[in-house]
Amino acid sequence: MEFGLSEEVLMMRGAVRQFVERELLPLEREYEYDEVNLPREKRAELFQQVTDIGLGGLFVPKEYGGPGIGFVERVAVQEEIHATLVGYCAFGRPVYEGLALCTPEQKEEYLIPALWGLKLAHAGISEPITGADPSMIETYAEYRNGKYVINGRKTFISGADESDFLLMYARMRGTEGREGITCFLVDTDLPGFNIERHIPVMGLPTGVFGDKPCEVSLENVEVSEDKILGEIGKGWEILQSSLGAVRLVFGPRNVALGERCLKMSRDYATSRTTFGRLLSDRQAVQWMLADSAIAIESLRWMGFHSAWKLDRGLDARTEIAMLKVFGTEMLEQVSDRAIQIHGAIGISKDLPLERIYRGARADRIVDGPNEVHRAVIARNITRGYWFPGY
Amino acid sequence: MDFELSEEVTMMRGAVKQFVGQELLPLEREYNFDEIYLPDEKRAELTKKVKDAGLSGLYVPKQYGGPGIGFVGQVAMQEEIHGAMVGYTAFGKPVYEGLYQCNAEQTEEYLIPALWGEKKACAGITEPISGADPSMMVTYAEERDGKYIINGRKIFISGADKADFLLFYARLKGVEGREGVTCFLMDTDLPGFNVERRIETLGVPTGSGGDVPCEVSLENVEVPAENILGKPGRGWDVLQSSLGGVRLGFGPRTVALSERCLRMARDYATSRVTFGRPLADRQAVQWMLADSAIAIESLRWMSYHSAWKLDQGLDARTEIAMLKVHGSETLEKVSDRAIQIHGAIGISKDFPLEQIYRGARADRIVDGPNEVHRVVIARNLTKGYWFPGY
Repeated sequence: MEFGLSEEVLMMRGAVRQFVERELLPLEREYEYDEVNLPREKRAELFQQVTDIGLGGLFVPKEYGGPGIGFVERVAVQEEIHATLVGYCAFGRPVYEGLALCTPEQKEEYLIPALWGLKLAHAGISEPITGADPSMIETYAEYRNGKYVINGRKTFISGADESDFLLMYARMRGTEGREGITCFLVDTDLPGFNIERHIPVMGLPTGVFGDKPCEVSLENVEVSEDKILGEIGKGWEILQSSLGAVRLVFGPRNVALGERCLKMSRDYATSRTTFGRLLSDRQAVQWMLADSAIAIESLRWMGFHSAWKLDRGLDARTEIAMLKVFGTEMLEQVSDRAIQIHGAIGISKDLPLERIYRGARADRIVDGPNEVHRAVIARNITRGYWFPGY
Repeated sequence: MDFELSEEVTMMRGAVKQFVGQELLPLEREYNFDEIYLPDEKRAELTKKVKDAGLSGLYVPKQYGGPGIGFVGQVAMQEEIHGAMVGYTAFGKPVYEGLYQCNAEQTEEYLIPALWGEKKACAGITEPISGADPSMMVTYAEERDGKYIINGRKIFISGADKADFLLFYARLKGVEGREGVTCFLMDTDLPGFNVERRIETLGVPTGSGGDVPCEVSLENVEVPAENILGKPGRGWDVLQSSLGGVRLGFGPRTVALSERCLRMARDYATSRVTFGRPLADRQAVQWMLADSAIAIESLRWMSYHSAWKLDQGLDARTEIAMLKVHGSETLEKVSDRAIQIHGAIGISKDFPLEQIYRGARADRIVDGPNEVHRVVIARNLTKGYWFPGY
């Protein structure tokens, strides 16, 4: 049992922290604590700066030229990256695991550019009729004159307007349920692919790299056979494989933002005076600090443990589901307490707290609503999953 | 970062698990799931069996002849040992850390026998007038001809009726506050030391090992000056050093009992049918299972992390305070849900659930009420304590 990190990881983490403090945190005010306000050119500039200091491609596996850091290292580094609300995209994004199914040609065209941030990719799953249950999707594809022609509508596709391509899930026409669902690599400049609008929301989720949710329509969008990821009718498996390890970030990101809220709370409570005494003199406030600390501490090690399991090639789906539920609900509570401690300035946009709070509310819904994850946890438990399995 | 236990610890743990399954669990029904019903002869018999199995002295440090498995090892063993509600004391108990301040003679007479379970010790701190704030105690000691004459009253002293000696705290007559508090090693067979009565309570704390809280009175009890632990008037330091690593036990103990509740809840929910469907089909029940699982998982790694810090010689007082709060409150919720899932049999004494529930309620109070621990956590935070400190 070892809770220390290797020297190498500590150094990498220190370098990341330094970059975040010097280059990213100073941008927050200007861009109103929201990644979404960062212009594309500025993002590219930061991305280059990260590459210049040797931290480019952190999430790229070794076989594609990256440092090939393990999941524990990833968690350690993400705890630093997500301390900032602006500019964290500079470090790149982990890509959907499903892309591992790419053929050699698809790898050249899609996977490798996505890994290195040269192309932006997203998943087109949700539709007006179905979010949590993708087996109900209606967007369909039919084979016509040597091409697959796709028609339908997708909604809440983050970043569709800035993507270069989408992993677009459509069913083969005439199929029902999970059967027939196929994953297509759809370039967003294809005729017939339309971004209808941005959907205004209460708050963007905390980790969306500035991607706005969009509604898109597909009108006779034609893709060739070589754009099918995996096989026809095998899209469901790809869907299930994606969003697993990527979701690991719900640990470190919520730890980082939770710590930020707690630090602000502590600093404010120890300096703000009311009725002749510091806020931190009151037990009601002390309870808030203590409960936030307990929640953050317990979340942190769940995150590292899940990552450690993945590094060992062990199944961690139940752990990651737990991480997502616990992390998002923790951040909501911690940011809520932080706002309350700050009084009115806590809800003003001068501070990042309300942004985090709104983001945390969205986080309970996106990437699988917490209800779905609870159902998965319970189902796994009733089917025999148990803890460490010593 | 490594979440695996050493081979040695894993093997020892397996042996403990086997012993618990073979020798202890079968006793539970007969002794009403309660350690206090285990007769001393039976306990002595089990203690001998533990010794014969080579599993004695698990909590004894290497320098006193123990296996030296460290705090991490201790946590691992306790996770198994506390899977049983009867007979776990056969494995001994960690001693109050204050005893490590014994001088050479005291070590022979008190510390070593206590470590090996040959003498039973308990702590005499709480009085009718003061529990959470021991600096208010009024039991006093007067020096006379190389002896100290002690008069006063103590209450809620667990196991006083069976102890061979107490770490007894009294103030030097006339010296107020913390300054007068002195720790005496007091043999219970001294004239004037009376166990007035056993106090009946809602439930015995989960870590009390069959010890019942007692009210004791002291009428001119004479204790030799050589029996002062530490120095006269320096008892406060001894008091503060105690209840640290021992308190670590809240982690594995609440994990073990919570896992037991969850396992029972899962088994019952998957087999009990109402209105044509198993309970486990209902989301209300699934949510209970999932939330219990998440809480247990988050608690487990906090526990190992705190133990690891202690093994590294690092300060872990804030972490252990968090552990105590989180552990006791988790067990209360998990046992509560388990009872609810079981319906009426959940509150019957045919099952261990109601006993665990009552014990968990007591756990929120003993060993420092959770309120005190929250104050400590908050105070440490405001004084600059922060997390891992990478």
